[in-house]
Parts: sequence; C-alpha cells; structure tokens
Amino acid sequence: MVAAAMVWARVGVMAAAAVSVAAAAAVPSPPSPDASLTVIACDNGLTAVIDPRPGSRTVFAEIAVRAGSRDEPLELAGMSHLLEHLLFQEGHGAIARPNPAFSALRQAGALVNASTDFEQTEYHADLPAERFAEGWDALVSMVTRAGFTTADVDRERRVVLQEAALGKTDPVSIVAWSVLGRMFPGDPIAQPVIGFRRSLRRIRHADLMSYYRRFYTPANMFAVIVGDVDPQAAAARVRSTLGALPAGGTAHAPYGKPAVDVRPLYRFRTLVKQSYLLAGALTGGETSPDALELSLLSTLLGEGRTSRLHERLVRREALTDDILEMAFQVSTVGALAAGVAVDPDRQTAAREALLDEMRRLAREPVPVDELASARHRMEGALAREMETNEGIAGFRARRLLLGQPLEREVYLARLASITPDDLLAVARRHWGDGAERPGGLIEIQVLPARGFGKVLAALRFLFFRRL
Amino acid sequence: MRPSVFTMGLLLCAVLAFRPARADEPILRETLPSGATLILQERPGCGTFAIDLVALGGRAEDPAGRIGLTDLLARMLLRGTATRDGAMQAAEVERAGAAIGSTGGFLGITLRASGPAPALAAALEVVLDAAAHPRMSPDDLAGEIVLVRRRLQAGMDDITTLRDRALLPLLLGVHPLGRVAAEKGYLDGMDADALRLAHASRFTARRMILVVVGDLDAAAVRRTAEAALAALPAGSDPMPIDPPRPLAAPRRARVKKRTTQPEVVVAMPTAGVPPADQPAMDLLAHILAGTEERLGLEIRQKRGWAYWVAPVDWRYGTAGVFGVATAVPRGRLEEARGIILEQMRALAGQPPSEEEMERARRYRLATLARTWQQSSGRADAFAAAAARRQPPRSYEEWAAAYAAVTPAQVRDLAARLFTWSETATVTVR
Repeated sequence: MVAAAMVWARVGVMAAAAVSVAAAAAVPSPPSPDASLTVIACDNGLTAVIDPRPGSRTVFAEIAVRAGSRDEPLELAGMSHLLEHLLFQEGHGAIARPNPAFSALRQAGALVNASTDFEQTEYHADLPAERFAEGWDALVSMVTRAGFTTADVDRERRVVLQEAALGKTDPVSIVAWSVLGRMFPGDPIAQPVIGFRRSLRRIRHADLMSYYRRFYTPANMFAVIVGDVDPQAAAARVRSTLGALPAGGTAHAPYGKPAVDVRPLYRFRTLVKQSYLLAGALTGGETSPDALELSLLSTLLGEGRTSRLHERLVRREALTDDILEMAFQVSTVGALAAGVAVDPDRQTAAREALLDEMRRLAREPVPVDELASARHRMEGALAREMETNEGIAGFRARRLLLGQPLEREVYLARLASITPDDLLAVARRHWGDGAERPGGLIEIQVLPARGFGKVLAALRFLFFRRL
Repeated sequence: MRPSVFTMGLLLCAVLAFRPARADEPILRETLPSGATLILQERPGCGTFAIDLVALGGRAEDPAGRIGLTDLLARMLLRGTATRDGAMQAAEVERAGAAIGSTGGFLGITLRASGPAPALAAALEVVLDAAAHPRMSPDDLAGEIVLVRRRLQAGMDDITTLRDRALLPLLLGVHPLGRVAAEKGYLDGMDADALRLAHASRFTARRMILVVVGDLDAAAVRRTAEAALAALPAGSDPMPIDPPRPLAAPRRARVKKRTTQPEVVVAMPTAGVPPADQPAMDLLAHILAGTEERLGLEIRQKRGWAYWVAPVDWRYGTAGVFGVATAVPRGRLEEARGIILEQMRALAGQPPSEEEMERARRYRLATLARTWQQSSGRADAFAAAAARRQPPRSYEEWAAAYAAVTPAQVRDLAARLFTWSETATVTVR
C-alpha cells in the first residue's frame, strides 16, 4: 500500500568503460510470451490482458483504475491513496471490521498490495496458481464492493499519517516536493500523492464514496493476469466477474499539460551530512514521442558500470559511487535528471562533472559502440524484469495505461531504431543551447546547513512535519 | 506426541496442494577436483542466467582492527585483474546485456552476474578472472577507500543504518557480528598488502562456491569452472563462528535523530537456526511479524499506530539475530515495545492455530515461487544455503518441509528462542 511519487533513488553499483568495443549484435531475448497474449474487451468497457506463463507456480493478478492524485481537488490531497487503503480494511477489536475479500486473499496465501500514483491506482495479488480462482474473485470483490464505514476512515487515516511520516524522514524527499511545488504551482502534481496532514484530516466518508463512484467503473478500469493459468479459464473468470458488472462511467480522458514555472537553480540548505546535486530537464512525459530516446540518454548517463557518470565520478575521479536518479514521470510531463550524493568538500568538482556530462550529450553525438552498449543494458534489464510474473504484468499494465502496444518486441524494435543523431537532437531540444523545452538545464542542490542555518533548517523541518 | 491421522491427512493435503504443475530440473552439486564447490541448475528456455561466486570468510574473519577489510576487498575485485582493467571487466559484461557486482557479507564475499542467457560465457569468464587474479593496484585502492568512507558517512543520513549501528553492539558486544565501523579512523592503515593477504587466504578452493543457474549447458559451465579454478590452492576451511552470548538482562539504547517517524526495534541474539528448524523459523517469523499477522493486526489494524511492522531475522549458521521493528508515534514507542514482547511470549506459550499455520505456509511458498521465477533468485538462495554449509533445497523440498512443520514445533522453537536470551531495545527518536 504505497503512495508512489517522485522519488530520488540511488542507482545501484555501476561502473564505466571508455574502452572502444565493437558494436555487438542485439541481445537475444528470452522466448517471447507476446504470441500467447489474450486481450479481452468486455461489453461494459473493461479491458483485460491475460498472459499465460506455464510452470511459474503463481498468478499475478492486477486490477487498475485510471485515476490518481491528479484527479483530486487540491484541498483533499491524498484522497486516492486513502481510498486505496480503505479497500483493504481488516482487523479486530472494537472499531475494526473484517473484510471477507481481504481475508480470502490472505487465506489463499496471496501476496497482496496496492499502489497509488499520479494517474493510476492499482491493486494486485500474487497468488499460488491452484488458488487463482478464489483469489481473483476476492480481489474483484475487494476493489468493486467497497464497504468501509466512517469509523474505518478515521482509523485508516491514522495509519496513512504514519506512512506520510515515513516520507518526511528524508530531507531530500522533502526537497523534491518543494521543487515540484514551485515548478507546478496550483496543480495537483505539486502535492504529495499521500497528501498533507491537513488535507487528510479534511477528507470525509462522503468525499471518498463520491470519488469511488466516479472513477471505479468498468470503463475506467483494466486488468492484467500473468502466470500459471489456463488463458481460456482465466478469460471466462474475468468475463463472469469484472466483465459482468453493470456498464457505467467512461474511460478517463487524457490528462492535460500542467502550467510550468521553472528556474535554472533550486538550492536548499537542510539537515543532511552529504550534498545532493541533481541536474536535468523537464520532458514531455511518458506519452511524448521522444520518451524512449530520453530513457536511452538516461541509461547512457547513469545506468550501469559503463555509464558516463560511473566512469567519471566513480572510477576516474573517486568522487562518489552514489549516483541518483530522479524518477518523476507522468503521461504529459516528466524529468530526465541525474545526480550524485557527495561529500560537501567535493561538491564543486562533482557539480562540474555532472553538468559537463549532461552538456556533452547535447553537444556531440554518442559513439555507435557506446550507444549499442547502453541499448543492450536496457534490453538486459528488461529481460531480467520479465523473468517474473509481476515484472511482465508491470510492463503490460504500464503500456495499457498509456495506450501503447503491449508487445515487448514492438518496444525492442523501437529501441533498436534509435540512432546517435536522434539522441543528439533530443538532448539539444531539451537542455542544449536554445532548448525548446521550458527551463533548459535545471539544477537542484540540497546542501548541509551550517551555523545558524541549522536552526532555520530544523524549524523548517518541524514546520513541514506538521503539514 | 504422535501426530493424529487427521494431522497426517492435513499434511498430505498441504503437500498435494503445493505440488507445482512442473517440477524443476535437479540441482546439481559437486566438489570439483580443486576442492571448490559447484552448484548448477539448468532452466531450459528461461532465457536468462545468474552466477553467484562466493568466497567464504567475510566480515566474520576481519580482524578487530581491520573493520572494512571485507567490503574493500569485494570492491577491489571489480577494479581490474592481471589481464583486464576495471573498465574492461564492466564493458565485457554490459555490452552483452548483463550486469555484474560484488558485495562483502558476514560469511563471505560474493561476485554476482546476471542477464540474458547468451551473455553467460562472457560474464562467467569475467567473474572467475576477478575472483582469481584481482589487480589490487594501490591507486585504485586509494580511490576505493575514499568511496567506502563516503558510504559510511552517507549512512548517517539513514535512520535504519543508525538504528542497526546502535543495535548490533548492544546485542552482541565484541562478537564479530556486533562490530560496526567507527566514523573516525575507518580504514586507516589499510593497504594493498593487507588486501592481498586476505585474498590469498579466502579465495582458495575449499572456500569457493560457484553457483550458476539458468538457460545453460551444465557440462560447458563445469568445464569452464574446472579450468579456471584448477590452479587455486586448496587453502583452509573458513574459521568457525562462535555463537554469541545470550543477554543476561534487558538492554536499552536510544538514537537521537530528528525524524518524523520514530522507530523501535526489540531483538535478541541467537545461536543460529539449525537447518532442521529453518522451515519452522520461517513460519514463526511470518506468524509473529508478517504482513497482517499478529503484530500487524495488533499495532496497525487494531490501533492504527504503524504503517509497517517487520521481522528482523538475520541467520548466519551458528550466530544470528531475531527481533521485530516498527515505526509508531513517539508517544507509543513504549507501548509498542510492550506489545512486541507480549506477542513473543504468547507464541512461546501457545501453539499457533492451524489457520495461521496454513496461511503462513501458503504465503511462504508464494514468496518462494516468486523468487524461483528468477535465475538470480535461485542462485542467491542456493549460494546463501551453501555459505551456511547447508545443502540447497528445491522448491518441492521447501514445500514438503513447510507442510511438515507442526504448530507445536513453532511454539517450541519460539520458547527456545525467546527464553535463551533477554532482549535489547533500540529507539530512534
């Protein structure tokens, strides 16, 4: 039960190589499951994808709703996520209420969870294969038959406030929200998916039910089932459960582009021991035509031990091995950014290296062999992701949400078609001289507070904690 | 007490219920002529591979004055060899779409690689070369020391790191598992000679375990491994790890850190968990602190205090730690501690219900099935077992083992565990 959002993540250990390698042939992929995909369009507007993976022992079942924090009124921030929690309600004691659907999922041995994002809320269960039917029925029941009470709302609000506190332990994530707040003033994107203490306290049972009735409709939902399941039997199960719900609602219209107010530098001094430096640019989001080129640029820059930042910052200059990436991406806006956590006394050198590597991408074409290596890293990462039913489901669900082809082969073919000139053009457009995108190259710096600044930072921290 | 016909029937049903649609290929385990251990599992058609190469003797063997030796040695393995520099190591693996890394652990140092099946040969060659012929250049070492010191400093921004740095010495005293690096003087005096000595004593045949899982030709992998490891000296067995001493009285510590999420951990040292008790231990941990189980219901569902409750379950053969951690409002830390202790006592006094047992079995097996879907998940599991000197278990063996655990066994294990030692409590607030 996670409120996803913009996060700064440390990219795993990487390294780099300036070695000139011959452009290797494309990485052969594991046997493609694409051919066995079943796509169901139910009369009530629901879409489902079934992907059989015999012998995998589990079935990953996901029901997604095309609605998230971008659909909330500003004063009720956190409503989508609180609702997600409430559909799980279970417990004991005076104010708790058993939820038979969730109980059935637990009893089936399912690994059950959910996540709320800017544009989507999803519920999933990874089920033992022999328990798929009962688990699926329970998951459908849990998502489509909300029965929470006012008392449930009050109690679960306390749990969500604890979860919100988790996101406020890290000064860097607080900074991330501060930046979004300044970049997209007045837009729901600028608010934490999990909401604020004050907005969470405002949310009433009636608000949640109204939101639920509006968005949790068959036409605005989709399902993905991946695993050790008979596709015909699974299709029949989907049709007789989700597919049999009364038609209603409409599919969510595409989201608009938020108004942007960008500055070249955002600097914060707070209670950290390391300096966190980030450089990047705004992008057109996941549905923009150059989204894959941007992913490839991001890989070239910071993914893997042969990436440019690893080669320079880790291997050559030993400045840091803590490479950060900024994962902020919705359908109509996003960011390509890379960064580092570094000792404060080495931040000047690290910043220069970071900016130089960003600018180099917009200045000169990437050598063919380096491009091939980065592409293979992406192909290899996808091969590993698609080993698990959950990984496959995640890939398919994301593409279903964005209205993109579901097949891995389509994605790989598009990836293979990208040239050095394409990358140079995209980098120039976003952060080169005379960039078309608003803002060009943007920097974010989170630096340790010093002297009296520590007192001010502590006060800011206390203030934010209360929000 | 003899199990009743009903209990036997339940067990049989459970075994049948967990029977997978398709059994895996066998796990092949052998000792190579050099003395190294080789563990292979073919997964025809899966399209991926994973390699874990473990050299036994990790932080447990670092001298008291050389904390950090294992971590530094692990990192230096990917800083080049006699025939490849670090950039070449990375390039050979990554241009084939695979990934490589190395980590230092309490029981050993592990080199890992995984990726699409066609990259196996290149990755295996780089891994075996890194293990056998690291370059240990003083210049590279100087750079790595800077980076490792920075890592330690960066950890001071992380609450869980701070919590565990307080917990381990409190629980384990001078036991090697209880050591934490000091902020000042860390890695002072560490030089290439010290690393070479450690490498020479640990990367020897009898301490080497090579695990390869995936879409592979077992005979070809065996030939490559044999050839690469043939010249290794036999070396010595890893040093035995003494069990830690139980705590005679409860201990407390507080970490002062400005945080919106105060944490409490209640834990105790253990003398390890014998192989026969591992399945019962898994079920015990889940019933006590698993998702939406006893402590989740008490602390999260009933009272709404916590977003997460999690077991702390570290097992290293003859030493370990078991406990529970959670994050609750500051004013609830003491009550949360009391509930954790109360639930530990309850589990040690009464066997869990059949319903709880069944749920725990199913959950554990679903988790295992997810792990088993990945070549790297299996390789890590086989390597972890081998590092504890235990045979790797197949999915079917785990299913049978979980099915055979009785509620009374879980209670008895809890009673042994929770009465062996007093607890240590650390709060972060």
